[in-house]
Amino acid sequence: MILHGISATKTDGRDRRGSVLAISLIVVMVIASLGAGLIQMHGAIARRQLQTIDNKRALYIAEAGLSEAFMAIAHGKSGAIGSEEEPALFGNGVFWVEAAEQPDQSVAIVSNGLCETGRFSLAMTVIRQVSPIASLGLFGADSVVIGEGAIIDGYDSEAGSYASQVDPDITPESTGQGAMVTSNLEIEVAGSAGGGGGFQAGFGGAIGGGLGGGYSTWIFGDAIPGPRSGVLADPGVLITGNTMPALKPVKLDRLEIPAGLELNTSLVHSDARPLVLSNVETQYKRISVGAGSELVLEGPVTIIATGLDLEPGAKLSIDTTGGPVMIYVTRFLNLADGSILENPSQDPTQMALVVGASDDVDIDGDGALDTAVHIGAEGEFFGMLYAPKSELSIPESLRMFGCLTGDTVNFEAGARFTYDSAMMTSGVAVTGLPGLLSWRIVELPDAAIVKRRRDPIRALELAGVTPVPSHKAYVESYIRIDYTDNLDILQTYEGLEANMDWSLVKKVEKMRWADTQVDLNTAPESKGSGSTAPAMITL
Amino acid sequence: MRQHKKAGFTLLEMTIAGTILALVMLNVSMVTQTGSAAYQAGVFESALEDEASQTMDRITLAVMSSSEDAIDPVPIAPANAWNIDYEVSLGIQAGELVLGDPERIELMPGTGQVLWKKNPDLPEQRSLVWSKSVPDNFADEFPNGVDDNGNGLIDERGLSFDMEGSKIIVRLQMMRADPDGVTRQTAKVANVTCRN
Repeated sequence: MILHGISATKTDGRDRRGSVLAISLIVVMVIASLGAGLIQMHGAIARRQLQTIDNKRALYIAEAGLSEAFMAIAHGKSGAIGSEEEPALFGNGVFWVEAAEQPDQSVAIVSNGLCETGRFSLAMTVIRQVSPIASLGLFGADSVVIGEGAIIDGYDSEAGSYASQVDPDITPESTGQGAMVTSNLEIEVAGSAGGGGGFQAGFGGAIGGGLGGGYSTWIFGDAIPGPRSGVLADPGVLITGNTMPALKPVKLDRLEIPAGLELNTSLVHSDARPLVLSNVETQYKRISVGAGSELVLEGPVTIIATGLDLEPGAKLSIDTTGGPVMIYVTRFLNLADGSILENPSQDPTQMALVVGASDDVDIDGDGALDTAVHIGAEGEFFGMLYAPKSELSIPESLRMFGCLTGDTVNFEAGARFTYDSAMMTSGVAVTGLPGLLSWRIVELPDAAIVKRRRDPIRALELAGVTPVPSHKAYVESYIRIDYTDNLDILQTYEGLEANMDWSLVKKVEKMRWADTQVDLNTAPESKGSGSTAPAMITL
Repeated sequence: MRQHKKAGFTLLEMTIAGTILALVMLNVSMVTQTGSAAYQAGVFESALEDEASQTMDRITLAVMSSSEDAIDPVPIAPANAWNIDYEVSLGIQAGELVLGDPERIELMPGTGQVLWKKNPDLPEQRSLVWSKSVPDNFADEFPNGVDDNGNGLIDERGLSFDMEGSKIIVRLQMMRADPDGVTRQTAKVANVTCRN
């Protein structure tokens, strides 16, 4: 059979030419536009994901900027790195950090990170130098026991004397604030059963009620026990601050003493006339002060001794008016009952008693072991008592101002301790590392390179700028340094830091950084960098 | 005898052509459908992934901006919480850290919503929905007092917070059914340290 119908009206095949092509083109165009749409959609998704990744990278780069600035400040620099016009190169992005000194000795830093199309700005406020030890206040690694009747508060020695900061509305005499008691484990506080109500640990906040009324033991501030530990308080205990456990235990730095001091024989002083040591850096086998005798240390003084022994009636007077007094005791500390401590300058920031003693030792030569650390003195102690391996017991007779660290700390009934918050940022307890005060996300700056959403490295290239690696982008490159050289001679160097021969430096005394040589006279002063710290021996 | 002009196709030709055309069209249709479905699934998963990333970023940045002291206690594993109360740093004033109003990030079980609240439980409370796709329970976890999925947490929800040392671990599960009814899911875990 033959069909005739399909093209019955068409007499010539040429009439159909091109119809398939037209249909094919339509199909191709439909598929192409569909594909284009899909590609566009896919592209939009990819761009969104890339933007998210770029923003995250920009955040990390901005954080890297903050870290670089932090280390720069630790080395005495301003913290400024790069600039909007010439940012620092870091990874596949750039950053610049702006730093501004604040009136309260803190530094406000803003770090701007850019990576591809990602942008992020972070702000941080740091304080130039802090003391990790002083910030612990009264710290006992293994335990803190506060006896009944103890009063613990705080003050700021830079703001004036303790007496000037006493709150007249509080009985007993106290500033009514600022205490800091910390431990890696429990904090036990004893009180009398007839008191006005106890405060059980582990729950933050202050307890209400009038101060003074019904209480027998007072902590006017924070009592922070170790992780998963608590404050075990008897009835009649008042704790006005935070008692939440710390999130992590405190890890104390290794105990170090200065190396290379001249070694002398024992210093035994039993004369009625006071023995004055002033402006000395020396090492004794042992220091003994007899009954009725007085040893006066006038700063600056640095003394190392295997033991410090004050007999009953002996007196140790410390005057820090002319400079700091640092006493390092390696084996034992005996401040016998009835011995006297005195500090007329009353500045806790300028005095440190560092004790490495831990095991019992025969102090008096009677063949029997004595307690490695015995504190029975009366009077006043202004300073840092750092004895991380020792069991400390503080009597009522010794009034303490400053900060205190021990393995275990026992405050006997009625003892008083006042924490000096100024020690965190000034004085002998301060180390070279800055302390973080605040971190936050801030708005992007109004800068051309930020607004242009394109790869900043490419944009800089087009502008003829080659960003330098971050470690070379510090604003300051000039240095003036006063240092003690290897022959113990005081020297001064001024010029490009890159040209400084650091192998000549034994100890940095003063250091100033500046972006030009002219600015060196007005640049902020630093105590020294970590790489040139005085030689120390680890106990 | 006049010879007929051979115009048109035979029935056999038409049948074969029709069959081939049908097969080709079927094939094209199947390819298109499969491609389209795969694409739709990809787009859907990508959107879900984006939402998870965005939500997780918001949570981590909030926690990073806070202070250890200004965060309500976060349980230690295997315990965990599905909300976190915190305050973010606003900077330093007169030497003191200034914290903002209290904020909360919270999973609303049964609704799939993750809410961010400012001044929670107060008359001036404000809230924003950060996600609507968070299931009540984390993947392979059931509310039975046992760690079913072996991640160290017991009965953790689609959003959970727990603490390890000084780090807060945030776990976020996203789950949503696509237009074909297929359930798509993604999970994110972040270790965050408070910067303040």
